[in-house]
Amino acid sequence: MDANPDLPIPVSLIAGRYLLFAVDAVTYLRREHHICGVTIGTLPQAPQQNVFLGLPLELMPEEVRLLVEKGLAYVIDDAMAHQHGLANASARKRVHYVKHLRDKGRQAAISQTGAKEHSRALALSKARSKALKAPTIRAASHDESEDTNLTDTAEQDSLFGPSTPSGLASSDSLSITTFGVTPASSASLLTPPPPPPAYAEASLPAVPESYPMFKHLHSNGYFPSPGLRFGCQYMVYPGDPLRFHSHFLASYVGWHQELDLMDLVGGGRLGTGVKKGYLIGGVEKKKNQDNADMGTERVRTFSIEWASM
Amino acid sequence: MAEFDEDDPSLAHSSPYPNSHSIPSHPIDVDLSEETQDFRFLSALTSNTALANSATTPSVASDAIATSIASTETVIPKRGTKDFEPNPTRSQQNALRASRQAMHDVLSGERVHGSKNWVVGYFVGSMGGEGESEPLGGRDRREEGIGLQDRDKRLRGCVVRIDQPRGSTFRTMGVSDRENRIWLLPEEALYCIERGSLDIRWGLPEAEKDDVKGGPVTGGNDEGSAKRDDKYDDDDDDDAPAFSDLPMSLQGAYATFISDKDLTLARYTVFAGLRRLGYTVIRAPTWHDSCPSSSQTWQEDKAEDHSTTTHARTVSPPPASTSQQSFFNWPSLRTFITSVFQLLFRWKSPSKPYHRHPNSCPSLGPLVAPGLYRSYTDIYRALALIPFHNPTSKPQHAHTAPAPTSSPERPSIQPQPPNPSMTSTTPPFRISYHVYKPTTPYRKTSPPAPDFHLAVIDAHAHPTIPNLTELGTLLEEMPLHDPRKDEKLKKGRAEMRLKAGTRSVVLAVVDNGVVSFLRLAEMGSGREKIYEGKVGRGGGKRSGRGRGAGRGRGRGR
Repeated sequence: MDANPDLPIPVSLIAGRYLLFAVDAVTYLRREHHICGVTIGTLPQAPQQNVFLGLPLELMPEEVRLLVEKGLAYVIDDAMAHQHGLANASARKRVHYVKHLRDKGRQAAISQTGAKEHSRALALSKARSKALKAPTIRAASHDESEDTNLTDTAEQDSLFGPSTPSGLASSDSLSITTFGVTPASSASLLTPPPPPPAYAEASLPAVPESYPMFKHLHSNGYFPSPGLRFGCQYMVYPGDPLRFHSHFLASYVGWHQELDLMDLVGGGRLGTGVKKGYLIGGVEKKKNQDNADMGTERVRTFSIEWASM
Repeated sequence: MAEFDEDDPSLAHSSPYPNSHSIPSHPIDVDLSEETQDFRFLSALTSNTALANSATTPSVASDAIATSIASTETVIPKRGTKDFEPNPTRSQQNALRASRQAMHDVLSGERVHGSKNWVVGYFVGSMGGEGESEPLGGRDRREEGIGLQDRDKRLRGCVVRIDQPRGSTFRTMGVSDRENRIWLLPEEALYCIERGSLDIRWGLPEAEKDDVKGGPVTGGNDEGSAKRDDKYDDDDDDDAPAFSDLPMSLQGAYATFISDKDLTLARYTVFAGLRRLGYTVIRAPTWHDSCPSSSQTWQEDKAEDHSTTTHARTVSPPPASTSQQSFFNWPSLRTFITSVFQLLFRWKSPSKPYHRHPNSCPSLGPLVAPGLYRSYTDIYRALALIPFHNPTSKPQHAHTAPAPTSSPERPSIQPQPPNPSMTSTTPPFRISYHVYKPTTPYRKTSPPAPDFHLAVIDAHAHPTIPNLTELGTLLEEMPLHDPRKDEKLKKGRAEMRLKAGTRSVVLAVVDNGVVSFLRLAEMGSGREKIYEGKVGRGGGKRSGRGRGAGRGRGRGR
């Protein structure tokens, strides 16, 4: 888990959305830089539920902008990258890719066989110890357990018959059929384009106007995540959302923007209803006394709670 | 939602203390997918379903898992497992570390295909869609090359072909051709590859490619093979796998199948989320932005006995030119026509309130005419003055208005469709998917009427909820489902009928991968005479019940 990916990390831009496919990058950004994103993919281990989701990780534009500004990530157009990369993948690269997958597939097959044999051995030893513990009925049950063992092995053999659906799977000297593997990331096949030396201001990922507040909250150690489901712009967590509940429902308001009191009451009411504070933030521009053009900007935030008096 | 659910008798039993303010959580409030859960509990979710097996061979048979998950879901602690805020204790650090490690381990799970359920699909490029983006550009796909002799229109948009389909996944997915092969749409292929049920190759098998007229599959492949020839001497890799034999990675699948116009990431997120829960999700006829809307191919409700309704729906009015659209103010015209018809039909409509009691004459005398009243119902009926909108009668207007028999007193614009704005929805407020409940028996050859009509909205591109016009056009396209004719709702309470509504649509709002579903329904509140139902039950039956109870319950997260 502590593996550090090579920096900067390439972030895939697919149809205007930012995605991450490398698990090391996902874990690293979460651990070191408080960037969590949202997992949107189906977990192959448990494909029929929505509580736990897997790769890819969708990043908010704000998160990508922050990473790019810090020099931790850069954006690649993934459709283009695949188009070019596949067309230009050298023979060596392709051989390496297939070999890599085959190794993984064999490992998976071995581990599965191992797990099966382990559980089988466990079951057998259990049955044996049971039989030993009950010596009076041992004679009677002995034949029976022998029989079940026999059928078990027969089933095991049929499970690993030499039925290979594709020519890709090689017939190894081992009796194990190599499994097919679908990798999560194309990194082993494609060489991602090198990161640009420096981002021009214009080529930075476009972000909504609430970005200053996002950055402010993030720099103060909070974990902002998308919050429309709770009626706000960001859910603000005090720590990793894996372990902590969120504290605030945050919405951005322009500094001179007029606020409808109903929005404040509604937001406060909503936040209190889910045991959170409603937070609004804006950018205050302070004019410098020496130079009128040069001003300082700072983000100020306010929290609103429903008081019971 | 709180209003009706609290009164819903079917849900009442699930809350043991209906009047208590101290309920920490309400069963219907809990949606585990609403927030990030600790991945250490994933095993709790899958323990019954032999995680050890599925971790290495994700089973294609999914329905069994779906049902068993529903039963094991309660194993995950609802709340209380998370801490309030970080503190510098080592125990908290360790817990966080363990959680992250669990997440890392789960996310690194490989998608492997055991020999039993190894389904291989071939990426064939886009199948002659209308201007859809072809991610691997330059794919000059001849129809004879990919065996599309029947030139089946149903295959439009399909991108992956499976020669030997296996498993139950394809019962509700894809299109099969004469040779019993399955063709998948981008979202279906992506979903299959994501859940580990499908191994997609970047191109067709070698043997088949030789038959293809015009040589290699792609222009890109030409380059690739040329390069390969160059490198043969250096690498002596005589058995270098061809480009088309390479398995597609998940990243490659996303990069290939997701596009700006056709299958956006928002649409796919919604599709996959519903599929994961067992719903059958099918593209609606109004999938493409350019498709004419209001082409309703599904069967009308069986209980529907308005022949006029079905007529009005199948006959699509001629499209009005844009100049006419801009000239006339259609919404106001529509209300005008509606009111004209209301006036026309009022005199002979027996259901109009003030014709029930002959004595009442609201224009002249008191609202409730003097007389002998045996029940409050008559008085309430006499008091019902305000005309209301009846959703079930609307299509009759739409049908009668464009009728060619234009009588002289009608305005000259009458032959035009009365509401051209009502006949075509605009993206994103138009239906993308038809959704069927897992319990609805679905057959690909003859799909039943969908349970839900779903519009997918990207919250960042469209941050506002639909206005009344957009909503009206959207609902207008929905099939009429009269709650008074529904077997279950007919006997139920009026509130439930009102909640069900006559036409409904589900909006899936996607905010950076987080999906919220909103159901919008048109209800004919005037059709449900609450006072009629109340009389028989003695009126104040529910008065003792604390209505405000349990509201403002915390969710605490």
